[in-house]
Amino acid sequence: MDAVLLRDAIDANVFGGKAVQLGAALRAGLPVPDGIALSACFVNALVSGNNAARCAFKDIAEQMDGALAVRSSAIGEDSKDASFAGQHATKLNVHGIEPALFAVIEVWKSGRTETAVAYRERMGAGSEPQVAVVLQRLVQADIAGVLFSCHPVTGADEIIIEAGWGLGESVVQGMIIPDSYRMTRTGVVLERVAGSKDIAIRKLPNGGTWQEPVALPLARRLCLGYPQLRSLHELVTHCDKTFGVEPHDLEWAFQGSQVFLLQRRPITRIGRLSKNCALR
Amino acid sequence: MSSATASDGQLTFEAPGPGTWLLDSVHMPRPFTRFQAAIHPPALYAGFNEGLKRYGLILDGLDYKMVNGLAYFALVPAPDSDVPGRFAAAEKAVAEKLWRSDLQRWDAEVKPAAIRQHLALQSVEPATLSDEDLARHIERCIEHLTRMVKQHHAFNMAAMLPVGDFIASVSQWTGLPPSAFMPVLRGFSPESAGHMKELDGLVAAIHANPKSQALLSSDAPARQILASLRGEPGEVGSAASAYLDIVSYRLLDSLDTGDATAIEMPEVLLNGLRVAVEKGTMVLENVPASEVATLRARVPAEHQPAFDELLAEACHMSRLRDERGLYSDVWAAGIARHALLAYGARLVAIGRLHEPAHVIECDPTEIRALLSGAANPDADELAERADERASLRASDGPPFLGDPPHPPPPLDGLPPAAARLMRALGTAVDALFAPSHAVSDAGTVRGTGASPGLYTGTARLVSGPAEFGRLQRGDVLVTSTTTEAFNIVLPMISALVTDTGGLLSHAAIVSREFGIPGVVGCKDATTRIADGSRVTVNGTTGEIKLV
Repeated sequence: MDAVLLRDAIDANVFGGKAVQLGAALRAGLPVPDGIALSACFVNALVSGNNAARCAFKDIAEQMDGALAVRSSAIGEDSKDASFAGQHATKLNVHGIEPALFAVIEVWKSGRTETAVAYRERMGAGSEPQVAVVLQRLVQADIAGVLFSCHPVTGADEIIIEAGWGLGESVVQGMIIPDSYRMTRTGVVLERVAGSKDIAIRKLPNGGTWQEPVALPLARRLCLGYPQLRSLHELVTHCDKTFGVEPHDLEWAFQGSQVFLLQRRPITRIGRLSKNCALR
Repeated sequence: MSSATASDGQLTFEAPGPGTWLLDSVHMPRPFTRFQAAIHPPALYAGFNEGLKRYGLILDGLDYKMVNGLAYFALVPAPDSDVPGRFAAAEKAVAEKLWRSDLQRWDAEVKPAAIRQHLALQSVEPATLSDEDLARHIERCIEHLTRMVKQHHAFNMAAMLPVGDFIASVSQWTGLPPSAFMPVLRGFSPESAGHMKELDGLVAAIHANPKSQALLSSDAPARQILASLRGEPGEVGSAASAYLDIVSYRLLDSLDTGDATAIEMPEVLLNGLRVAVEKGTMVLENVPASEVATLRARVPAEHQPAFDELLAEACHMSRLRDERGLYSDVWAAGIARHALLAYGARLVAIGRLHEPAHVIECDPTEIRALLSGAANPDADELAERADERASLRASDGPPFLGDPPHPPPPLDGLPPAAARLMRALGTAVDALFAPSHAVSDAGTVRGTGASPGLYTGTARLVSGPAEFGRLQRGDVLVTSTTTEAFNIVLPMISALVTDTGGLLSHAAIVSREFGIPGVVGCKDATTRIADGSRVTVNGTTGEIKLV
C-alpha cells in the first residue's frame, strides 16, 4: 500500500505509466501541477473498503485541498505500444475527501468496463487491470489542448498542436473542432488554422464540470498567439531534454500566461488526434 | 478605435456617441484594419459632405466610427445657418440636373486622371526600392488612397439621387414594391456585369489567336499563365497588359487595404478570363420595350412624362454607382496594399514581424514610426490584432447601437426641390442598406427578391477572397455581402444570395446586370444554407428553398 508525492513516483509497475512520467517531468523542473500518486495496491484496498487504507486516504486528501483532477494511471497504460487513451475515466474538479474517494473508485471501475477489458485483451495486456491513480491539482485552464512532437499520422518531423478554450477535455474527447497549428522543430510557426470551438469545459463551483457554450466570434478566434506558441515550443524542447527525442504526446494547459504540462507519453502506434482533427 | 471585452471574453458593443448608430455591414463585411480605419472615415466624410452641400441636402455627412473594428455610422444634420443656402442649392441642382454634369466631369476628367495616377503609382515596383524610397512611396500611396476615398464619396449624390428619385416616385405612383420594377434599370451598368472595353479587347484578341487559347487552357499555375499572356507578342500581349493593369490591384471583396487584391488570387482572375473567353464578348441585354411599357401603363397618365424623364435619368446615371469605387479607392487601396506588403516582407526578413500583411494592422502613424525604427507595436501585438480581426464578422455586431432607429422627419415643411432630393436620398440609402423583414423558416430562407428568375444549383458559401478559388461554374454564391470589387468572380456563378443589403446594394445590381436570380438581405443565409448543398433560388419571390 503506497501513496507518494507525484515527484517521487518512480516505479511504473507500482504507480502506473502516467504517474511515473509526471514524476520524472516534475523532477526535471517541467511545469507539472503537483499531486499524489496512489499505487494500484492502495487503490485496490480503498475499493475493497479497507479501513486503514481509507484512513490514510483521508490524511492525503486533506493535504490536497482545493480542486483536484483524479486520473487513472493503470499499470501497462501509456506504454510505447498501447496508449490506452480514453479507456479510463478522468474526474475533474473534485472537491473534498468523500468526493475524492468516490472519484478514485469510479476511475478504478472504468478500468473494468467491457470496452476497457476488450482493449486490454487486444493489446495483450491481460484482462485484469491494475489501476493506480493520480490526484493532481486542477489547473484552471483558459486554453488547453494536445501537442505532438512529430506528425502522428505522416510521421513528419514537425510539431502539431490542437487547442480549444477551457479545460482540455473538449479537445481530447473530440467535442469541438479545435484550432490546429504546425511548427517546425526549431519553433518556426508554419500554419495556424482556426477551428470552431463552440464549447468550453469549465469547472462548476461545487465540483464537476459543465459544457459552457462559446458564442461567436470567440468560437472562431485563434486561441494561441505567438507568445503561447513560443511557450509550448519551450515546453516540448524541455521534454526533449528530459525524455530524449523520442516523439512526445503532451497534454498542456494555459492558466493566464503560465503553461502547465498535464500529461506526457511517448507517441504510440495508435494516433491519438482528436476525433474532429482535419488531418485524418 | 474602441475595443472592449467582457469578463467572459466576449466583445461588448457600446454606442460611440449620442444618437443612433447603424452598422454598415454592406460595405464592410469584416472589421476595418487600423490602417483603413484611420484613413476612411475622415475622407468619406469630406467627400460626402462636398456632395451633400452641392446638391443642397440638409445633411452634413455620415459620421463613421469603429466599434471593435466594425463600422457604425450616424447621420449628421446640416447646421441651421446653412439651411437657406442648401435650399437654394437643391433648387439649382434639380433645375440643372447637376448629376449629368457630374457624370460628364467624371468621364472627361476625374476618372481618366485617377487612372493615370493609379497607373503611375503602380508602375513603381516597391520591392526594388531602397528603404528610404519605399518609405516615401508608402507615404504617396497613403496620400493617394485618402484622396481616392474622398473622390468616391464626392460622387455619392450623383450616383444615388437619380436612382432614389426614380424608385421613390414609381413606388408612389404605382404602389408596386421596388423589387417589382428595379429590373427595368438593368443593362445600364455594364461594368457591374464585368463588362469593360479592356476585357472585351482581350477576349477578342484571344479569339483571334489559337496559340493564346492553348495557353489560357493550359495546366500551368494561374500566375504564370497571366504573365505569359502579358508577354505574348502583338495584340494579345498588349490587350492582356491593358486589362491586367486595370484589374490586378483591385481589392477583391471589400474597401479595406487589409483584404486581398485580384493579383493575390490569380486563379480567380484566370477563371474570370476563361469564362469571358468562352462566353465571347458580352452583349448587354436590352430591357424589352414591352417590359418598360407595362410598367409605364401602371403610372397614372398625368405622371407618365415625369416617369419617362426619371427613368432616363436613372438609366443614364446607373453605371456611376460601381465605377466611382472601382476607379477610386478599390484600386488605390490595392496599390497601397502592394507597397505595404513589400515593406512587411522586409520586416519579416529581419524577424520584426510574423507575416507581411500584419503591417496593415498598424495605423499610418504607427507605420511611420516603424519606418523610422520604432520597436512598437511589436510582432506579437500585430499578430494579435490580425487574429482578432479575422475572428470577427460584421454580422457579429448589433444592427444598431444607441437610440433605436426612428423614421426620418416629415419632409412637408421643405421647399419642393429639397424635399424631393431628401426623399430620393432616403430611398436610395434604404435600398442600399435595409435588409428584408421576411422571416426564414425550416426549409426556406427568405430575403428581398432583387433579380427575378429561378435556378437550382450547388450553394457555395464564400466568406472572403481566400475562398474565391472554390467557386465553380454554375454555383449559387452565398455570402454575407458583395462589393464592386467582387465583379471579377461573378461571371462564373448562376445565382447570388446575400445576408445584407437592399435593392440598390451591389449584389442586387450585379445579379440584375448578369440576369441571374438574386436574393439579398436574407440576414441568415450564410448560417442556414450549408456549403455544397442543393438550393433553389427564386429571385422573384425572394425565397431560397433548401432542396
